[in-house]
Amino acid sequence: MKLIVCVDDNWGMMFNHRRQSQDAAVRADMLCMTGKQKLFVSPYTAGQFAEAEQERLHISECFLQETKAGEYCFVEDPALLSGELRPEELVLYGWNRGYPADGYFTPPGQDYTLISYESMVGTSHPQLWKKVYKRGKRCGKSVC
Amino acid sequence: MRKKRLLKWLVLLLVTLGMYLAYQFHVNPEAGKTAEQLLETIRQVLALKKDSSGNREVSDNETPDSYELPLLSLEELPEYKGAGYVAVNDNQPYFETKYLVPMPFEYYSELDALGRCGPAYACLGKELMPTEERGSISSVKPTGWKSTKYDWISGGNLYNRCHLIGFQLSGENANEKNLITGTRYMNVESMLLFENMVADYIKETGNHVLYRVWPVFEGNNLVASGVLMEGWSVEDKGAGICFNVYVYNIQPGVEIDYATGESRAE
Repeated sequence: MKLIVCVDDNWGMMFNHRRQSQDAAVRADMLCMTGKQKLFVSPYTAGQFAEAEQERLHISECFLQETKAGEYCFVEDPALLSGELRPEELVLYGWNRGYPADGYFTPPGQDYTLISYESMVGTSHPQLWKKVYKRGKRCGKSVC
Repeated sequence: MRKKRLLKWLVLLLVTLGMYLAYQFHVNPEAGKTAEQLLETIRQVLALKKDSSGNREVSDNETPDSYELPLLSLEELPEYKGAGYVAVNDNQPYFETKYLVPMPFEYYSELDALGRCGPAYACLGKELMPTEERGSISSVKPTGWKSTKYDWISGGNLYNRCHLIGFQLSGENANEKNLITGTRYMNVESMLLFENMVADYIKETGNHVLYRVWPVFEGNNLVASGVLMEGWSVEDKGAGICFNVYVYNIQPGVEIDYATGESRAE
């Protein structure tokens, strides 16, 4: 499984059962990244995608359990992320802003290696960032 | 001058009410009921002025002794326990939302008898957002204002001139009815987070957010103990934005005399 999460400057994800923020540029980037694969999401998360984008989603309450190896899932509710979850890849989008939060993401530990970083311009956020981590340690030019 | 201002607000309210009623009659044959609800909402905003001896409402051409929170007593507000803000009323705003329409307005209370700010209330949207850079607000001296520095505070200053409705939301600059003496911690570490969330939601969706900020003064204190912040997104009926929080006007490491604004390192 490849896990996608959006966080604020303090690793916050949600406040009062609502996402902290959203951005059309982030959604477009996710769908570009997933390509022909479906993006696995909850019905709540599907609500932020346009109708035309819905066919590129796999929408289910059990989306996390249904995501197989090599497939992407986008999680907004930190309550779904247990410590046992060990995605092969982590894709983090940062709002580059502070928002109120009562649900947080646990930053990737030493068993994850940062393989790419880029900054992006959002539709409502002047500067976002995207970091991709792979599970494993760096072995030369690859991660193993 | 004051009468002119009051007249201006009265006209604005009547125009707002008129537009709302026109909208309701157009889309809803049972508009009478909704008009009643809107009037109740406006009453909730305006009929908050109490004299110091009791609950008598004062009329609009009097200066209120103070503003009191409508559905919450000071004793009910939880004590500071390390977090800059805390949810109140299960994070549900107090204002009536059922019949509201996405029509932008902003309202700033008259200063009370001690020169303190009262609640600021707005239906925020892209229409109200600033189109120019923020100007200087140093001409405004809110009650309890003292220029005090501590070297461990980012920027040095203990106090900021703290917008009730943030500049990024309404474009209100040096409006004395919208500026209180707030700690750097309250302003940047707490209030700004909610302002960011609301501003970015409005920019992304084009929706409107009903928004109210109450400065909470204990007795005759010149510095607010905190502010109550409420927000609710109108078009999606609170699905995007819904909060009701009390934000503490404290600064870690500093003891503040809220009666005067004097302070000392703890």
